[in-house]
Amino acid sequence: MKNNKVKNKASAFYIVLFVFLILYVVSFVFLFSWGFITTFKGANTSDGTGYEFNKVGLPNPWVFTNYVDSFNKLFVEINNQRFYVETMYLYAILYAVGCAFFATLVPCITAYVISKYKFFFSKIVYAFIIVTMSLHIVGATPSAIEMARTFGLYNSIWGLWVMSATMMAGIYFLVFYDTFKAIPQSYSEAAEIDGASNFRVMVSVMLPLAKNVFFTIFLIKLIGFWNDYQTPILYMPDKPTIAYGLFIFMYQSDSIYSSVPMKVTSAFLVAIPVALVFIIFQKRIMGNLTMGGIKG
Amino acid sequence: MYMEQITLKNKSKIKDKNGLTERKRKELIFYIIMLTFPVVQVAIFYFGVNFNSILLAFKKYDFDVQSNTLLGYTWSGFDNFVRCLSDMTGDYVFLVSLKNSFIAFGVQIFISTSLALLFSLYIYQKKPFSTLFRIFLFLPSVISPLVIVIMFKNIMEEAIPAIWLQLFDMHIDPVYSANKMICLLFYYVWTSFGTSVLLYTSSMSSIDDSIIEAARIDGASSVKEFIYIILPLIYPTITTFITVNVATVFTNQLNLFAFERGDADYSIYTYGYYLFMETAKGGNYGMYPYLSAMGLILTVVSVPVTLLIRYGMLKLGPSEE
Repeated sequence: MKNNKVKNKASAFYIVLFVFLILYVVSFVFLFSWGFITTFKGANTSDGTGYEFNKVGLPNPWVFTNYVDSFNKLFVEINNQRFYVETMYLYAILYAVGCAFFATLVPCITAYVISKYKFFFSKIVYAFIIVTMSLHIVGATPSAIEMARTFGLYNSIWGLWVMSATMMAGIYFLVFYDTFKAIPQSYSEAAEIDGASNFRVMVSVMLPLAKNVFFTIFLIKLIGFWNDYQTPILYMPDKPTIAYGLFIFMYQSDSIYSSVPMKVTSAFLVAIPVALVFIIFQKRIMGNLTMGGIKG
Repeated sequence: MYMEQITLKNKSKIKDKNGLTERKRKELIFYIIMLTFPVVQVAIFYFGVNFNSILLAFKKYDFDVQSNTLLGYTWSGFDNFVRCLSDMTGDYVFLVSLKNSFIAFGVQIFISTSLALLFSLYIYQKKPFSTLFRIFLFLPSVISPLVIVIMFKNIMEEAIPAIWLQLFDMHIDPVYSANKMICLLFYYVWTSFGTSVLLYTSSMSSIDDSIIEAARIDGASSVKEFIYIILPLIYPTITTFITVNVATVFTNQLNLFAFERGDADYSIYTYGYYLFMETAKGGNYGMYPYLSAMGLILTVVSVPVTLLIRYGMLKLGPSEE
């Protein structure tokens, strides 16, 4: 009897959670469905059709030119210069891929070196990264912008590559550190006996063993940098990425291309590439990146 | 020849004047080369930036009105700090920002974290549709916040009133405009689960199955299993998340910049939004010293509190034993 009572309570508990989760899924399905059908609505208001007269129903008539028009005609103007979608895509690819690569490579190599080489400085680096994960310096952005200008890194994509190539990668550094710590020393020793240099051991033996973790973290960072619009606004204001362009376009109201269907269409232009990356690599991105909470 | 072999064999064990063997010397050279860029990068963009931020807080940006030229930064002592403290304790904008920053923090800790743990438990227990729920919970971490904000805002402003009119023949105000703070907090919770659920479920998955089974054999319910077994064992992960949330209480923008650009009403300001918005304004160099001073004051408050909370949680929290 008691067991049945316990079982029933557990079932009710999970049923409540199930209902919450279903509502959560339904809310996102509604959001993206509404967005998707809105991209097929026109902005025309003179003939009684278009989005303004049909904000929630299926398109009537269906307009299939919004995506093409977005690509060909949408632009943002910065300092009297027009940037069209293909240019913004180019800047976004260079920014996202470059920053993601260096932001993954540098913590990876740092984690390898300090996990494998027992010099005292390794402990200092490890402790520094752990401590700074919890410490957040507020209001240093103006100073960072000044530093970027001082070193000639301001308003350039490669400048952002340099600024993103930090070993202070938080939990991702710990993931790399734990990965390399778990690799037995015998792997590198075997290569050294065969005459491999330290660099050769790292490149030919150790990094390949961590390639799955490297690629997973690279993908997560790629998605983050692709979606990031605030860093380009601050550090690269004259080279709009597609996300930055979308932000500017969100608040335009002075043309036919600033209607709600066009704004939602341009939003989908930002979302589709990362959605494809996520669909293809979903299992890898959501796989078990263990961090293990930091103690002491 | 024999003597040569002995010499070669012993060569690797011969230490130089620094006490290093040849192998150790090569390792050290490699170590230094590999760490040079990361260390220099941190030296400039962490230590350099923060040191410069401290210096900037004691400066002001001079502008000569007569000649209409920018003179650059000059020392101004503690003027920025005095102005900041006066504004932060008396100005409506900053008092509201403080209130909203703490509201956002409270919502994150008590609502988002609780829900994230419960959803993670459901997924960890592999209940029906766990995989589907896991994907949708992670979706906001994949799709740009701008994309979701555009759709969310238009649904709140236009679609929901249109649906209400069709269903109930009743006009309602645009939902977002009439209830901005509530919508912002809802959106904040609604899109917050991604990484936390991923890491909580990973943490739960690393729990030894035998511990769970032993608890079940002893008759523990799912709720008791969650409270007395699972939570204590993933407590370090929870501590890390809460610590990060405490550390970022004054940098949390509540997505305001995406929702409102630089035009938000003062009543919904947070410190994170104010600091970012003022920094993002083009050519706003005159404000940089003031913003740096404000940032320093907020850091001086948040860092010890973060460390104290972390220490307290680890000291007073459940142990794995």
